[in-house]
Amino acid sequence: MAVTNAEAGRLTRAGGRLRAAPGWQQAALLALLVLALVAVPPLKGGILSQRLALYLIFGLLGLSVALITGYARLFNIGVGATFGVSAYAVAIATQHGVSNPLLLPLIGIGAGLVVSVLFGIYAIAAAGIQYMMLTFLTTLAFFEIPNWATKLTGGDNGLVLQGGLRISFGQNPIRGHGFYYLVLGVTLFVCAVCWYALSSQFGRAIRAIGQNPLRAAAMGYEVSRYRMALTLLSGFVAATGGWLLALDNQFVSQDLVGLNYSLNGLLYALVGGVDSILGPLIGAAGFRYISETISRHSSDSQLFIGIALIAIVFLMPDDGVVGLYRRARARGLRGSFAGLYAYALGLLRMLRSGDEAIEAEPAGLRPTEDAGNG
Amino acid sequence: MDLAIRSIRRARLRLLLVGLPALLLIACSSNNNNSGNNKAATATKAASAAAPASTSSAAGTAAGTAATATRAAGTVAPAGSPGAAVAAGPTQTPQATQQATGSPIKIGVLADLTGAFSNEGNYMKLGVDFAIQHINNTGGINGHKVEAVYADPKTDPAEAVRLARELVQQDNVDVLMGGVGSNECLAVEQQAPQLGVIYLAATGCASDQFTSTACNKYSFRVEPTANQTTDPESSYLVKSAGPKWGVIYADYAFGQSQLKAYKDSLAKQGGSVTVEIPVPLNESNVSPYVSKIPTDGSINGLVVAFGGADLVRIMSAIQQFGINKKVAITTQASKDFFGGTAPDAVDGSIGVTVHPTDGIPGNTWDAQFDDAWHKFAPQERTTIGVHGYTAYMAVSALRAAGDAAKVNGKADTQKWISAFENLTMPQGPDSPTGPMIMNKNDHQGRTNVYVIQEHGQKEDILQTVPASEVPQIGNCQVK
Repeated sequence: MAVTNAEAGRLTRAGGRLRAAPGWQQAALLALLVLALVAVPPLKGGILSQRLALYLIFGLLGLSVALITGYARLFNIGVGATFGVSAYAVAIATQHGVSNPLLLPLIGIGAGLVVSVLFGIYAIAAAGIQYMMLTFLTTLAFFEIPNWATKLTGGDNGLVLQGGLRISFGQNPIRGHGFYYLVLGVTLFVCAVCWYALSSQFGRAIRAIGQNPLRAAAMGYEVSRYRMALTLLSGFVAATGGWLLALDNQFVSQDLVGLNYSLNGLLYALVGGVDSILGPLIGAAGFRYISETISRHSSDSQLFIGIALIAIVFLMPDDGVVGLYRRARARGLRGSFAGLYAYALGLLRMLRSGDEAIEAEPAGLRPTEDAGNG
Repeated sequence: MDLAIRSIRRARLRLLLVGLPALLLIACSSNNNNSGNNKAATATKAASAAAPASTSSAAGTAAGTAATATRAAGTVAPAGSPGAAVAAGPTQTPQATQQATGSPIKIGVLADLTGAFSNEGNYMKLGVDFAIQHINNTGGINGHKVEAVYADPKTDPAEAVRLARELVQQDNVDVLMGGVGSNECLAVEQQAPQLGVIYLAATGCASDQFTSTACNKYSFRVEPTANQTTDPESSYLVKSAGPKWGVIYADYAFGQSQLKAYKDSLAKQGGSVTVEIPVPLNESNVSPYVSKIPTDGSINGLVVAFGGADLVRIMSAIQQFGINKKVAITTQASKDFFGGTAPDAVDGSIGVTVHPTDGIPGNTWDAQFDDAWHKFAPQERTTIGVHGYTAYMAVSALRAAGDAAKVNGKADTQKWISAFENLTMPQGPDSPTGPMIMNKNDHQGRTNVYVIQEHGQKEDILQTVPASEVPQIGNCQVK
């Protein structure tokens, strides 16, 4: 049973409301989430705050990917280079005696933005596969830089951050909760900047360009300028994450500028949802928590993670966990249960009687393409 | 259009319904086979997993069971634990065949069981399991049973840092060790002072920086590395082959650091590097590079500084060009670098190691050690090799220092450090090749170094450099 036009309209309106103008429910939910992030770690104790700090940092990496992939529909797999270059810039600066905690983020983010300009040029000059290949090859090239400049970067041995706790405003990433609150504060600030940008005329233009650049250009938008601006915003987010990771680990290595971190960022965004700000943060936390938990019990963790990702791509191909929440919310509680019931029933019928059962496919969880494009 | 969309959905749903259970099944069976390879595995679990084929053998499945323990201890430690006894002073009673009974001391081991260094990581795990079995069967550390908690950083330094913190702060390990890659151990080294635990580099971690420039109070490395091995080797090379050497090397950090180390070491011995041939990493066609090696007598020998598949490719080409018949070759010749079987290409080449793969003629301690190893890990084709041995030595040194300081766990870390930095282990079951001397200034150890030469599958020792004559790695001063 396909989704009716009326349902599709409801879904679209609901999605639009959530994205463009959060109502009091979303605001309350967000406030509750922030309150929990502030209050729970000290209450729970242990290493929760350290874990959450890392989740937030990698969430920024995911958010950076989501901005480009989700909003601008540009498949960038080189964001890790921006993330890593920022971390390296911070480490190199500390090696040369810079320990001012206010100067270091400027250096890291500045270096990240320089890399972003390169990706911005790609976004102007290329699209589709060509753009993806350019970002891919650039990332491979960045991976080799530490080997070419071993004196500056430490080569494949990596580089230790100097300056002690001064470089992180006196906050110890290992002890207490101060460093966690620093990361949380920075993350909230970055999210607020992104929300402000995406809620403005700029955000609406970026969405229009992402959906159909030719139509947007015909409407008078300067596509190249908007793409460059979004790439710089994405670079700012990634570079902020790189700065924080360097402070957290107090060490940088070649892996940071490689393909792995870029792909991980993409996974976080896909799992959480590429067209929201909260999605990549949720995706990073969920994905990392699951992979860390599985790794504790099996050396085949990559296989399990692969299975989980296959399931996610099948079940939530478009907008990840956040999309699932949006659809459930649009249908209401009863609608969601009805959808789940229809989904389960469809599977059972399909197993029993074959092809006919597909008619009962997840009406509650999977709106038609019409609904998605609304 | 509708039909096409439905067909795609059907295919996706079917693939999901069939594929997921199948993958889960594979994953579960695979997981069962490797259940002991992971974190939270105790020494007992780890030993059984490490030697799956040894269920009926002496060293067998359970490191903690009394029956296997007594037999293994009798083989490994016929005269008790001299290392521990000497380190602990004359009042300490030798602890042969005594089972450890105290509350466990936990060692958090960053073993790279997957990723680029999985070969070394698995040898590390075997070496640690072997050492723990021996320690637990001979009284433990100051009477405390030793347990290993494994974590796999997958050769990612950021993951190594995260796991190191988690091991100390969540799993409450008393000591950290491991991290095969230099970038991993250098990253974890920085964490040790803040975490307040001893950190031992073992297996891999070949960067001289660890103790030559980045040394700190909490970090130790027992195995000699960098110029500590190239200096003695270069001395032999200049005396035996001549002063002029060429270096063909992988053109990235490892190869470049090897080039520098050999240049410095050969210069100290009156030799020099007159030809340098960089080869890109993972280059499949190496003939153009190998053909640059002069065979007109302008060099007396050639240093081949590669690892893994690159090493095999280069050595094969050198053999095909007949270069090994005209100039002396030195490289990583030890069999355990090649999974236990030396390829033809390394035949005749010279190398340097801290534990020869074929044992040490005339050394009864080492013979007994190798015998116990084969019983512990009958599936292994060679002796413990250099990778497993360095892990064994690290844990043994930790034990000797712990016994000397009478430690009960992490709370005694400062006492433990004091004993460790003054530690000298005599030759015995805990240090079978010879003595181990720890340098108080930089926390870098020295053991015997062996210059070896491959002859087919046989490994001959050309020269033994005693630990006392192995040079210091630098002049770092721990704070």
